[in-house]
Formats: sequence, structure tokens, C-alpha cells
Amino acid sequence: MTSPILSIKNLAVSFNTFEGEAKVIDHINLDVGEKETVGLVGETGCGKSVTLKTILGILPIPPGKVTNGQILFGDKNLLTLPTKELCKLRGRGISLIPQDPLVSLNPVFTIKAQFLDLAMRQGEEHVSRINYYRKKLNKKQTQQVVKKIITMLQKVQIPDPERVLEYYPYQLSGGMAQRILIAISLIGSPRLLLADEPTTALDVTVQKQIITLLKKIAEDSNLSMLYITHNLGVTRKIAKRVYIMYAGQIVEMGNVREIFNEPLHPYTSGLINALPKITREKFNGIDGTIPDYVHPPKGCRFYPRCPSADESCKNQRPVMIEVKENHFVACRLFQEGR
Amino acid sequence: MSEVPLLDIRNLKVYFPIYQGLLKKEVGTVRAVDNVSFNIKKGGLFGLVGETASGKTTIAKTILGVVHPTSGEIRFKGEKISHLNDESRRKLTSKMQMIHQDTSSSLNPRKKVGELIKVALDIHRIGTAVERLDEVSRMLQYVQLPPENFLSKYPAALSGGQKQRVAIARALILKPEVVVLDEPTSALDVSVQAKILNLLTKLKKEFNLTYLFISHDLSVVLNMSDTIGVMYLGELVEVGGSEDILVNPMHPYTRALISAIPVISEKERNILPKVPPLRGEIGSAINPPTGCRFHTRCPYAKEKCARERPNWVQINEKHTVRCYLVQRF
Repeated sequence: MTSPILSIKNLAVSFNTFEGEAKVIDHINLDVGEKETVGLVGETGCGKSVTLKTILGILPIPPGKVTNGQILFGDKNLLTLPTKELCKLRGRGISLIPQDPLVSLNPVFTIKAQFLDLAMRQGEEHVSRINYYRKKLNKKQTQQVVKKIITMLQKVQIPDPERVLEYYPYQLSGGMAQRILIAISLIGSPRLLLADEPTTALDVTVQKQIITLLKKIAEDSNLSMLYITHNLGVTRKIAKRVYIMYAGQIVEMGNVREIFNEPLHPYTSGLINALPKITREKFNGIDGTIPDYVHPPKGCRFYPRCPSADESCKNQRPVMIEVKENHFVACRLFQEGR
Repeated sequence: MSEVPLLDIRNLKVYFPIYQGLLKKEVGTVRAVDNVSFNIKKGGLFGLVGETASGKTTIAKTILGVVHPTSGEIRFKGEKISHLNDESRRKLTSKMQMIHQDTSSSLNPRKKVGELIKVALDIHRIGTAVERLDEVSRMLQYVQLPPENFLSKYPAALSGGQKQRVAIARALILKPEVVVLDEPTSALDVSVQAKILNLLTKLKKEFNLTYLFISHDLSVVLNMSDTIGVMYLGELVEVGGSEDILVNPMHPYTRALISAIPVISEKERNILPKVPPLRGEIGSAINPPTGCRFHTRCPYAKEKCARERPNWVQINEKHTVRCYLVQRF
């Protein structure tokens, strides 16, 4: 693996709720290498989006609270970086592709208005009104930026970009809106792209187009990507390395194909068994539900649902160990050297 | 075919007028469902797949009488059920039930689970109050929710999978013969989805049900159904046995749809047809493309496809397809 561009070290995030402290992210470690696309897979409520928000520094604090750990982007710790510095990084160092394309665009402004503001103001923490209009009314400067935007829209394969720029979001289809959001996230030429389930709201044929596009863009512009999804098939298409997350813990990490062919952690194999496959093999779900984060199981968080759990799982938290080369798993079954 | 199909849909058309302006002048129509015919035998499981806006849900609603068809007819056990009066429709609803897509919004948040399930019995005046309550508990057991814990819970206290189980119990309490499932698992996680799908298969056997299963997820439909209909922009383009559709898809759209399934193993990938990716996205049902509606995205489209709508071609007993490519053979 090349030296990581993003490195999450022992991160723990909790939320203050009426019931008590919900320990949502439980000491996770995650690396994204230079020019690498990494998948982060988990079901609803496992803390994928919280991880992402913590990286970007947009987690509402309070009720959220980072209780432990570091997030290193290059050599900067994002958790202790002053807001001004963080603003410079957002969009230009790290960028985000949000989940629901049509909800993420403002319905009352044209694409051009939204895109232009963003492209001209990226990296600034606060914009005074005078400053805003001074820059906006500068025709020469604006035209330059519009040109840049149009090249970007061509890059994401939007036909007739000049016309699309005058559209309001409701005039766009889901796939088009997602392409525009991808263009918006790329306008600051970031080094790391965080993709939060960018294809969940789309149809499969459009999903295929978007994934092919993202792959091409990542390759062409030497991007690193952290791709968050709950869809295992999509992960296989886009990422080489994958982290499997369950209830705020990373349970398995390794090469996508290796993990999907031979899952080691009982949760991963449960997840794969639950998928309806086109070979028409039998599929079975996993019993139970995700644990309560206020009083999570003391040991392995998967223990109450695990078919191969025993007494020692109850109290002892398994650590990540390397079972094969670059294949890590956090489970008692492999710790005892069985 | 000698046997009368349980549900027979013939040349169904559902158009919605678009009104605009102060005088509400009709300015156009949305051709949501255009000339769709298929039938389901008793005990069958017909899967309807297609992308968003292909008219799947409109068909479901028309069958249940929520939406009135513009033309064409729907027959249940040989009897025409489109355009029924309210009284006969009410009698029919106990034979046909629907499970909706988004359970969070289809369960009344101010009613307890017990009341939600019981209301159907109240409306149809079945049994005494005590009998109704017993029936509700029995139904909850069928969907594997212990009644003592769940009868007096509100929907807000339930997880996605539990809500879906309540919706299933509510649909089955009238002992219907046909159940229309409109994307029953699209809001659920895979580990829960598998549980619900297996439960649905089990209940189908137990109650001798007939399902119309609507989904956009082809891998789910392939696993659940015996017959599959593929829809594109309000039209059926291919109908066939699910094994047949998977192994031998004929319509370019079906092939594209199957090849776009995100699979997880090499074994599955080898089954997928290798096709060029589709251009663009599904069109608009207001001004649908002329001729074959798929021709604007079809990698093999010829001039003829834009002019005339292809006819159905019979491949084998169950498998029919609507495409000029096939007609050439």
C-alpha cells in the first residue's frame, strides 16, 4: 500500500442523548492510500455517515463528541485544525459527493447560480456582502469560472452543458443531478473524494453509468476515494480494498474479491449469505437487530447475533489481526489460531 | 390455456390528464401504462421489474381499484373487476390486498399495531370483538412478532423489518387470494430483506396465496418469481419464466438490466450477459418516443424501431418478447 492520504487512528465518537452517552463509533482505524479507492460497507445505523461527517468536520457538536483518536490528512490532524484552515481544505483537499442528488441541490436557484457561488468562494470561511457582489459582478472573472465549470460538466459527460446550467434542479433527472454533484465536488480539484452512497437513489442502469464515470475520473485525475455504501455488489465494482463495518466497529478489512469469496468474520459471511444471488442459491438473513449504542455489548458488538459466539466473546473485545496478507479480521475465532 | 387465470390483465391503459392554467385546460396526458397484458395463474408468483417511472406501481393501484383504467380490462377469476361500483369493490378488497412500498408512511403513526391490523376486520364486520382480537394475535404470530410485546406498540417504536411484518399481517388478515407486493423490501437492509423475503415465501405456501411482486431489484425478483415481466416506460417489453429471462434474455433492455446487477462473485459475473452500457436515462411518459419506446437508448436501434412499434414474438410457451431484433430470425 502506498503511504496513506487519509488515516483515521483509533477514532471514537459518541452522542449525548437523553438515555445517556451513545458510543456510536468505537475506536476505528482506517486508511486511504494515495490514488486508491477504498470501500466502507455496512448496514443502516452502523456509523458510516458519522465517520464521514467527522472527517469533514461537519458533525454537529454537541450532541456529537469526539472522545478519542486522530484523523490525519497528509500531516494535518483534521480534528484539531482551526475552522479557517478546515474551510481551505473542504472542496479543495477533501470533497464530498452526497447521497441524494435531488435533495442536495437548492430547488430555488439555477444550477449555474449554485455552482458559480461555490466555485468562486471555495476555501473562504466568511464572505462579506460587499466582497460577494464585487466578485460576482466582475464579468471577466465570472466568465472564466463559467468556462471552467463547463469543462467540468463535459468531463462528467453532461450533454449540452450551457443549457443545463440554466436549469433548475427539478428539471434534471436523478442521474443528471448526480453528475452535476460530481462535477461540483471536483471543481476545486481535490485529492480525496468522499462518496456517500452516490448511487443508492438511482436505477441500476444509471448506477452502472455513474460507477463507470467515477472510476474513470478517479483514474484520470489521480484521486483517492473513500466510497461508502451498503451495496456489496457496487463495492466490488469500484473498490479494491474494503472495510466492513458493524455497529461502529471495523470487523474485517482486505481485498474486495478475497473477502467476498472467502468471508472470515461471521458478520461478513452473514451479510453475503443474505444477498439474493442470481445463481438462485438460498439466502438467509441475520437474526436480531443492531445493538443499542447507549449500552452496547461489552465485548464483540456482534456477539448477540453471532452464530459462533461463546462466553469469551461477551466480555472480550477482539482486536484486528492479520490472518492472511493484507486481510485483517477482528474475531475471536481467528485469534486463538484455529 | 384451459385453466382460467386468477388475475388477467388485458390491454390495460392508464392515462393521466395534465391540466394547466386558470381554466384547467387539458394540455397533455401522461401515458403511465400503455397496452399492458399479462396473467397470473392461481398460486403463481409474477414478478414485475422495471426502472423508476416505468408504471409498475400504477398497474398495482389499478388492479386494486385505487386508480381507474382508461381502457382495457382486469379480470379476477374470469370476472371483470375494472369499473366496479363501491359496494362490489368493497367485497372484492378482502380477496385482494396490497403491501406498500414505504411502511413508515403507510402505517398510521397514531394507531397501535393491534388497531392497525384489526381495522380491516372492523370494516368488513368479521367476527365478534373478542374473535377479532384473537385473530390479530394469531396473525402476529404468523409474521413472527410475539403479540404480547407488539400489540400495543406504536409504529414509531418498530424497526424497518418489524414495520414490514406488521404490514404483511395487516394485508393477510382478511385471507386474501391475491397479494400485490409493491417493492416490499426496497427500504430494508440486506440482512433484514432476506428474512422478509423468506417469510413471504413461507406465508405464500401456508395461505396458498398468489403474488404480484413488484420490484426494481432484478436479483430479488429472479429469486422470488416463477414468471417475470419486464417493463419499460409504461409498456411490457418481455415476459417469460424467470430462469429463461436470466439465461436467455432477448430484449436489449432486459439484457442491459441484467448486466447492470451489481453482483459479488465471479460465478455470478459469468452468468451476466456482456452488453454495452445504455445511453441516457428513461424518457418521459408525457411524450413517449414513437415506435419502440426503448429505441432512444437502445444500442441496436434501427430506423424502423423509431417508426413502428414491434409486435410480440413467441419464443417458447411462456417466453414472449417485443423487439424487431428477434423478429428477424
